[in-house]
Amino acid sequence: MLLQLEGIQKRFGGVTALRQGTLRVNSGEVHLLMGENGAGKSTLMKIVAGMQTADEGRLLWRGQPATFRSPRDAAEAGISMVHQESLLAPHLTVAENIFLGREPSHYGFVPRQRLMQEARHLIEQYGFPLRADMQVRELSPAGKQMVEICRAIRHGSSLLIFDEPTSSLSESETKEVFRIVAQLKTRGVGVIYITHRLEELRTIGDQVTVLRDGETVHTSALAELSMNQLIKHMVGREVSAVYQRSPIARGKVRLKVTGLSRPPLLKGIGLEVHAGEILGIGGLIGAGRTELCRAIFGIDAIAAGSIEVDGVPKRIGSPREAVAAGLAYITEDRQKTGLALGLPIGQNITLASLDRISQYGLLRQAEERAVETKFMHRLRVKAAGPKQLVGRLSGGNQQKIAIAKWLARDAGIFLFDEPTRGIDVGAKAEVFALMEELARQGAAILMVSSELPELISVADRILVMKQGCLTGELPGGCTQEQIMHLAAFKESVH
Amino acid sequence: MRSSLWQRLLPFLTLIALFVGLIIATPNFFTSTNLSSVVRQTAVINIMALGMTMVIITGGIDLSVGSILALAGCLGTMTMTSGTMTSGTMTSGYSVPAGIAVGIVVGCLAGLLNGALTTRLRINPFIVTLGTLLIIRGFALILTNGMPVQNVPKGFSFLGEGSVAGVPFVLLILLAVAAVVHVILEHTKLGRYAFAIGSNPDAAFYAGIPVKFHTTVIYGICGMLTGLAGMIESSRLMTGQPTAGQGYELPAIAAVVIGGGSLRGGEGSVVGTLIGAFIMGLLSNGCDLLGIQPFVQQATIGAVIILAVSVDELRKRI
Repeated sequence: MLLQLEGIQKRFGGVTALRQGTLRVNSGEVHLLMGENGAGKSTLMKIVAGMQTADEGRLLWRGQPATFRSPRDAAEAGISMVHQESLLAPHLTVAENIFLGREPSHYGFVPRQRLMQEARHLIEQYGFPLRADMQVRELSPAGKQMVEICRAIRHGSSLLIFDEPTSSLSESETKEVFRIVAQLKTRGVGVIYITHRLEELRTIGDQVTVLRDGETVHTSALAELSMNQLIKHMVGREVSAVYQRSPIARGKVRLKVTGLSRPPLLKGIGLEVHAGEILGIGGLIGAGRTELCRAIFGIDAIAAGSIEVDGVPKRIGSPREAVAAGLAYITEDRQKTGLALGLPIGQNITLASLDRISQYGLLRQAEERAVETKFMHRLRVKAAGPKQLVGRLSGGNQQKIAIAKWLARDAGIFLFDEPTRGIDVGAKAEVFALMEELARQGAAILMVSSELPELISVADRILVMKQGCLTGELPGGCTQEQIMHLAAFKESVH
Repeated sequence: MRSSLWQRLLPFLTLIALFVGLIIATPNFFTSTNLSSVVRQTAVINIMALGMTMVIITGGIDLSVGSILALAGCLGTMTMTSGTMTSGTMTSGYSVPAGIAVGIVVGCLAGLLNGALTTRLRINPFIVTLGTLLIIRGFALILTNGMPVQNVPKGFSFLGEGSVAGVPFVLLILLAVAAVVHVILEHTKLGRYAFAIGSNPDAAFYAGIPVKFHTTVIYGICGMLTGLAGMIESSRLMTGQPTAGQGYELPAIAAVVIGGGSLRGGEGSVVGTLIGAFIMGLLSNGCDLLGIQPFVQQATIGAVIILAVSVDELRKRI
């Protein structure tokens, strides 16, 4: 037994984050830690990694009671965490980052050659797709993740914690991470792996522990558990892994895009979205799906093409004009481009519609209050009130606020870019239900998603992109293989 | 969870404690002459700090305020003197308000220039206003040939030195400015956009907010208030000094920061800034009255800035 946690409790002020955290991890085992956002996974892992200390409970490390008071403490014992957002120095090289804080030093001097050599050796040993002399800022998110893993291995860790390592990676990059994890396993390293992506678990997991509302509710070998059972443990009620759509009558064309080009990222894209329709856009990372949304929304200038909204040609050269035309864009990265995290919930909800609730520049406060509470209710936002800061909400609730901003604006055409990224199963179902409700009320919805099962079950039609071109159209309910075929193998017509 | 009430009241309590402490420590403090001199001394920095508050909320900074103050003061007083020289076309009765108006407009234009440069050229405002700090100061010196503008109309002294029913006129101006800035920040679209831009400029842009326009307007307002401060400063000196206001940007920024403003943007308030400016004003006045060396004064104020910000950071982390 490598690590054993019993009855861990942790409170933050009046909020109990962990009530009864229990976890047992063996050497050479990949242990999945599952649970909805806010279930206490991160807090539990922070306690293991020495970033926080438990209020109650026992932590046994290799059978001995232990308390880690700092990440350094934990690292010295052999525990490292690979973070979701990379904590690297972007201007330093891969080698320098791997050794950061623990440079081999010779009377205070760092021998560059030795540093490079040792880094190269490590990289070769595991077959990381990295070069020791590259600057970290030139690396892809996956590359950065690899550097973090190297760093942990180099420190001689016997337990590695991965916090959603693949949430921003493409399929091939994900495979690369899995390969490394499998290698670590054969070398007897214990791995704790946090993820929201249900479909990737089977590939790597051995054991699974599920947390719900700060309590460990299930622990077993992964093989003994069906996907639906797993979801049931996480949400505490029956939820189907596949969203059940009900049909909506299709109305007139609301958004028509013709010949949209922005070489080399977008080439001659044409599409129509009808009222009451959810149009899915599939494709691999880098196929140009986000670029398509950005071009339609006026963020990037287009070289050619036209956009019609409700049959009227529109010149959309900025988000402001897009908003005026009735468009809404729920971006793939809500923290960077979707929300003002330091402002209250209420102010985020009304941000795009202040011109409607103000007169001569003065805000009509009663009206603003009314809008805030209306949409917090309608989207069932779990928060203390409209004055709570958005940054303190869970991923799912943040996403609801990002959507509420456009509902308050009364937008009619929605561009959803990866609407379920980093949110838990329960919130996903709520987001889909909301999209369906909008469609039923006559909105046109364009949905970009890398989660193929979601795309298939939610969209009425699916357009697939590859290298900036559309490669085909599929009906909703098609198979994943059909989408992958168009996304990866189809020769583009252009 | 936001900070508890007493933590948010901490700057205010500090101000009160300082006030009471000074009443006890020296009999010369709580007199109407001394208090009104504190008000008059801090009014200029205070008004500038209110403009700076808005800029800092948008995530920007304006280092050129000291130079804007000087240029506005010079051009404002030059308008007054040119009016009296060609007497007959303009009486001194009108030349004073006209000069004040010129000073305010000049400040506003300088602010708009700062805003336009940062937003259109996409240069960091720290760099832009470091540049305009030198350019505007140079311009003021060239314009006046390095000499102060003399012979301003006597009536002009009322702006900085006058009293209404025993209350210093500058205090009334300060309160009016504070009220207006407070309303802008808390109750208008412009103010809300300022917070949103400071908190996350990308999210504001994606929400369809004309970010560049509103940022420029905020710099314009900051310049305008600085122009007003420049006219008050000139009125107290009864000259237009091209070298006035050197280094004023630092106490103005310090007042905002002591009052809870964040240089990362998205945070700041009128009440906080007023408290910040008065804490610094009382400290320096108190040191004067207690006969503490001016060198010690400076060090004390510096320590207070760091203390205030560290307390604020601590509060946010809890």
